[in-house]
Amino acid sequence: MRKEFPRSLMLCSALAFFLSYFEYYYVALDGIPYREMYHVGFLKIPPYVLFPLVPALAIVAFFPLLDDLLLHRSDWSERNRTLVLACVNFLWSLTLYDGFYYALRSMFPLPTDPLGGLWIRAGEASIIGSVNLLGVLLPTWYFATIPIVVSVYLAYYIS
Amino acid sequence: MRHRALFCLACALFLSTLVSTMTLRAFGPEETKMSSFRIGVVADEEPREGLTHLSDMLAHLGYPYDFIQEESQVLEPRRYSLLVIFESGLRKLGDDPSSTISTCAREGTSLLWIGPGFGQDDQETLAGVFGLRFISQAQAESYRVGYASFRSGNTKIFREMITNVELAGAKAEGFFLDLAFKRLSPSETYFQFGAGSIAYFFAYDVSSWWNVDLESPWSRPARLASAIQFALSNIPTVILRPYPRNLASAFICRMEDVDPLHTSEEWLSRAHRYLQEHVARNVPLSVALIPVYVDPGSRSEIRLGTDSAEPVREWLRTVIRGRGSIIQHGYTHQHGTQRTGVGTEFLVNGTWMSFEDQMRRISVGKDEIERALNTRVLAFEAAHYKLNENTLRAMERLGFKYLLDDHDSPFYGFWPQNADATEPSIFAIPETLSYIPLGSPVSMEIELREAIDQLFKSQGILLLYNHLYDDAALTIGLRAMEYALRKGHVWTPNIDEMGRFALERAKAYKRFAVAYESEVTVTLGKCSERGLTLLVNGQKEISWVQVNGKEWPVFNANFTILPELPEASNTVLIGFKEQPSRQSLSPLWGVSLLGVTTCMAFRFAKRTFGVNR
Repeated sequence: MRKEFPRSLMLCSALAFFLSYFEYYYVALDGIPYREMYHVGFLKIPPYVLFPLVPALAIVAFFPLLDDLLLHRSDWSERNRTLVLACVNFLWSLTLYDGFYYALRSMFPLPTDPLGGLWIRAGEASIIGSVNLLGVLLPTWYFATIPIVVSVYLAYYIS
Repeated sequence: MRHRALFCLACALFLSTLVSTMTLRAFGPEETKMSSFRIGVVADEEPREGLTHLSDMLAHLGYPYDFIQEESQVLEPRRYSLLVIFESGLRKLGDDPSSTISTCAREGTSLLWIGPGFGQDDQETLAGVFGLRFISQAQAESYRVGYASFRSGNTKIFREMITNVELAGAKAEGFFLDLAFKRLSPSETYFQFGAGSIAYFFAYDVSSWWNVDLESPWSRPARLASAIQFALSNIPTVILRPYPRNLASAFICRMEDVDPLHTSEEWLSRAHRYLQEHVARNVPLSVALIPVYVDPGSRSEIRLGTDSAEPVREWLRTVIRGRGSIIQHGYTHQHGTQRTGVGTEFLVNGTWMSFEDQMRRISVGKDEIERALNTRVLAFEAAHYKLNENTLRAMERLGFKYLLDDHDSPFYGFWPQNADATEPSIFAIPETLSYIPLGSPVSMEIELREAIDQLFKSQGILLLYNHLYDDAALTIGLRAMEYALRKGHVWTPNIDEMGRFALERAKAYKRFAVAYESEVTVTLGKCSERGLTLLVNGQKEISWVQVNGKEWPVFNANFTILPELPEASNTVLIGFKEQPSRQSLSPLWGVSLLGVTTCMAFRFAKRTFGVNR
């Protein structure tokens, strides 16, 4: 088992936390987080998330693959596996980045945030909406990304 | 086989929940019967100071209101939540205004009486509705009245008509005082009747004489705003807040009379420090700039674009980089043999300059600033605020949108003012905190603080202007800014930002209407600015908000901050009872999605990583 994948996963998680922290506390307009007022862009995603935040997460997630490609040190089947794991790391970091944002808002809110202390609200979820699971609202896309990440890492571990 | 069965089950669940969710979405909340929230103003619509102030205040504070046209309009059941009554409008209440007032009160309408005319009503109505007994009405001097007091201070009484009343059940909120501060009769009272309706009474015209009392310039608007709020305190209300993102007030610092000769090291070093201190607190400066300096005595003319003006140009560029904006302050700010800064420009010896001459001067000045600083100028301030209709026409034609003015009001002003105009084209920002004169004592800071406190109560604009004459002006200006910011929830825009927001808000406000029952339905016009805030005063907390039929998440217990409103007429629905969100899907959807994704991802991953069965 190559250690660089779990390492990359941890790096992605750390970066996701840092970016969500940065976004919630510092990307604000008169004390109101930018995301709350300006989520009308593509799929309700603010423009600064599409660039540069998502590319930054992608670079870290796909770094093992880039490394392999640049050093020509693996065959095609190995590269396929690396690609799959890189994609999974990327999905994981996106989910975590989004989740951390709402966790910070609900647990350590900005005093000026009108939604401070609140977890995600129905209208805030992206275009595919949210699911109310045992009274907790979760964006629907978490239900797709989390099982993919868990399944792929489980298969990777077994192999 | 077992895998296939599980996969089929997950797919079936997925499909069934998809259908059920679509069905759920097709049904909206139940339609309910609604009544409306609106303020009615009973007054003659002849333009006069007090009435203009009142309508500016109602529009600024975001109350939906209209002027009562005829008696039948008032008597329509529950049409108005509050009636503001002036003597001049009593004839609109029919032949027997007392009985109309009494009927409105019985229907649950709150009342606010402003100024004289109270003696026209019969005693029974007064006692029953306002809890007062009328004694007499006369000029303030005849009663030796000097002030009207209230809990937080006094306001000066000028040569105006006041009413002498006696309490007959009402509670006094303030009293008239003589010049030795001895208490006389009640100056403002309130009386609660019926099911929580309130009848508020001012024994003087609180809507007039604003910014005249030097000691307490904004106490009257603060009292009036507070009385309106109190009279509506038992009624569910929705107001459109004056500033974006639920902010309570707005602070603007304007640098005044800056011209191309402001190149002395002393002034520039002070100006740079002043700018730094403001930028550090995210407060931009707005600079009133005179584009050409002239001194006919020494035959000198210095234009902003000349080499000698480079130091001041550099400072102005730093202001713009710090989110600041430039206001064109006339062309030369003088006439005849005067030097720049001394005299008026468009009004010479009592005669107004022609439209063509005004247009030419403003246009040349605008070009000079825009060329020298490579920026667009949208705000204009006439020398000593002396402007007429021609100035406004010239401004409009040259593309100016914002006007710095002194209209004795702390609220937004618009031109043209008539309600029939399609949309106001010019937004007027008043000066409210005055300026810091040369050699001001530090005690001036205390006066500024008091004025800030009063303006804060009426949500008025805090606009301080400073010439930076000396170091004391710098210190006082900075301390006043810090004091205003310490109040919290203060918006710090530049002139252009405030103007843009106010013009857009005015468009939305034009169609502002509120109807309520179990939910509140608010109608608003188009607004391309985000951040309009609806403040809801009700017994319950807001549970959900929909904007044009779509769920909107930015709300808290009693307010919602709105997105851009793209339609000519937009509907905001505010609900108080928890209801299943139309956008959130059932748990089955999630669980089945989870199942399908897990099955597929695991099978794919096993194949990719070569895991044997």
